[in-house]
Amino acid sequence: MSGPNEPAVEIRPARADDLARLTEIYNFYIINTPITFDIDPITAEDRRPWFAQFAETGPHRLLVAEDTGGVLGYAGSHQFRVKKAYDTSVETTIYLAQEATSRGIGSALYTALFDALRSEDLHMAVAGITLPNAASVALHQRFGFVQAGLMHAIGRKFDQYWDVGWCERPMA
Amino acid sequence: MSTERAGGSARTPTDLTIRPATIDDLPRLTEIYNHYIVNTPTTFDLDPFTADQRREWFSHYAATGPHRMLVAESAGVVLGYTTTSKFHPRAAYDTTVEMTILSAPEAIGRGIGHRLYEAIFDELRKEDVHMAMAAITLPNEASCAIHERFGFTRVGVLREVGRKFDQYWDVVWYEKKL
Repeated sequence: MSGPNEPAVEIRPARADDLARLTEIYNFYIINTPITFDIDPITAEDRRPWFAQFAETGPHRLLVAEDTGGVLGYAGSHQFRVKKAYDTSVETTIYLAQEATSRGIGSALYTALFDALRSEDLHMAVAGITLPNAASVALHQRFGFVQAGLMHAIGRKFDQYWDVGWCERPMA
Repeated sequence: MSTERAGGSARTPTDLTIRPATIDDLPRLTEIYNHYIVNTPTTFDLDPFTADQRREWFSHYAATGPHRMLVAESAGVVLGYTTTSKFHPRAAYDTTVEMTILSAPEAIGRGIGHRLYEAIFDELRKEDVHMAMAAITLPNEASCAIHERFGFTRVGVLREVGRKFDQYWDVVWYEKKL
């Protein structure tokens, strides 16, 4: 999706040469926000194991949104918890470059991600959102997530405790 | 306080001792855990472990710090254990621990879980830990009951979040402020 004055945005699988930019986008949220519970910024090199969990097939995908200016954001699905019975669930993640929010890019990414996952043996998607975050809650609600529960004070960042809302979405 | 079930069951062994786990306990701890892997949806592991494969898990716990493992022992036999473990790898979650508590099947209903939880929450009092979480595959009235007795409140249910024995299972999350 793009507005009348916005360049067209393409959604495609992430490639290894996106990693520097993906790390840059994520580091903004590490440093400036409680949205991620990582605390220390990460180098692209240290982000390789994270990148390696995704593939162009299977339940664990990573998609990027790109326009002529470069990558604007990404969405992915990864292992929710280690124990094997959880393999029918994925946790979804979505981050947009700060200058790329409110342009429908998150919706375009999630549309493509859930479309890509339709053929996989997945039963539920779950997402954890540090609160408050009205934009992320609204995006997840639009894509059929419902709140499953609120974990109070479950993380500490910037010297304060933060609540995390967990939401779930049927995949089958 | 007693954790005996209505209708009466065996009493808590009078010689029950609670102590930190040692590496020598690992075969017995694995045996207890494997019972739940093989026969129940209580854990979402699917394949039983050898004690050797459980060494890495054992290495996450220490006699100090937020991640503990205590065992309950009677007549030289370990009847159950409890752990506090990392809830999530991201650093801001370090103020939260996830609880595990399992009794050997023949020791259920004898107050062992209660004694284990009393001891581990006492230990955690000195640690920089703010919340304890517990995930329980439903239905499991006994586990929900012990968590509620220890002041856990329900966060919510993740519906059908795991598949084991060819069916999907709900998991309830509980939280307790420490």
